[in-house]
Amino acid sequence: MLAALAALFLSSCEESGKPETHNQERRQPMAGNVIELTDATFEKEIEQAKGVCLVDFWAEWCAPCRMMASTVAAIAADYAPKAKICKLDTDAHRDTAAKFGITAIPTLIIFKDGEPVKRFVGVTSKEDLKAGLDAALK
Amino acid sequence: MADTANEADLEAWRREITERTSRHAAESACRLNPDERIVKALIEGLVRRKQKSGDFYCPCRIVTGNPEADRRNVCPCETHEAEIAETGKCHCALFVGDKKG
Repeated sequence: MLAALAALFLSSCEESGKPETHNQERRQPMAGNVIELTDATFEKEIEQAKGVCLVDFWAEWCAPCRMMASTVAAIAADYAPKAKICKLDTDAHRDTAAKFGITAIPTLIIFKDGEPVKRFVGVTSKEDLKAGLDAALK
Repeated sequence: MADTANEADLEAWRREITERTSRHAAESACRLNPDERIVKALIEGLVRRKQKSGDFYCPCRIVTGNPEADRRNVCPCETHEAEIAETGKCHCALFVGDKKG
């Protein structure tokens, strides 16, 4: 488990030791089909949206969050556009994190028609996320 | 404010939190994650928390701005022993140990 954690983390880090940012230009869509959310866009993109959304709440210097980045990107490759896959930087956008009672990260929440239906806290497997999304998409 | 810290400040904080976490591992039942790369990344996260929020808050916890609530998450956080007992590691995986039960 620890070895896998290390391998996944290091695969997402630059040699300088500084974690690569999830998105160099935070207001642009991320690599693949992961959408970067903000406090200003969250309500419209998620709470007012129809259908299924997955939101990854993360922060730059959280090592387990770095691990989840590749998993979320893989999920996006499989599920977009039938589900909207998104990320929100909790350091930059604290209001939304507080609104959903998020105290630990990574936290991933699946929303359906604007309402949270499933929550995962900590490093979560791709299989568990897919199971949650499949259940919400039924 | 900590956010105006220069590299010397950052380096001093790195030493401080490295010593603190090492001492805690030596004096308690838990130990530092054996993967030094993970420890290094988390130490840097703690330093950045110090820089931005004023103390060594866990980089995997939200800093709410409520001092009483946030104090619980200053590394080593109040819940780390219980987390280790349950899962073998604290939430951010800086400290590891033996599961109980």
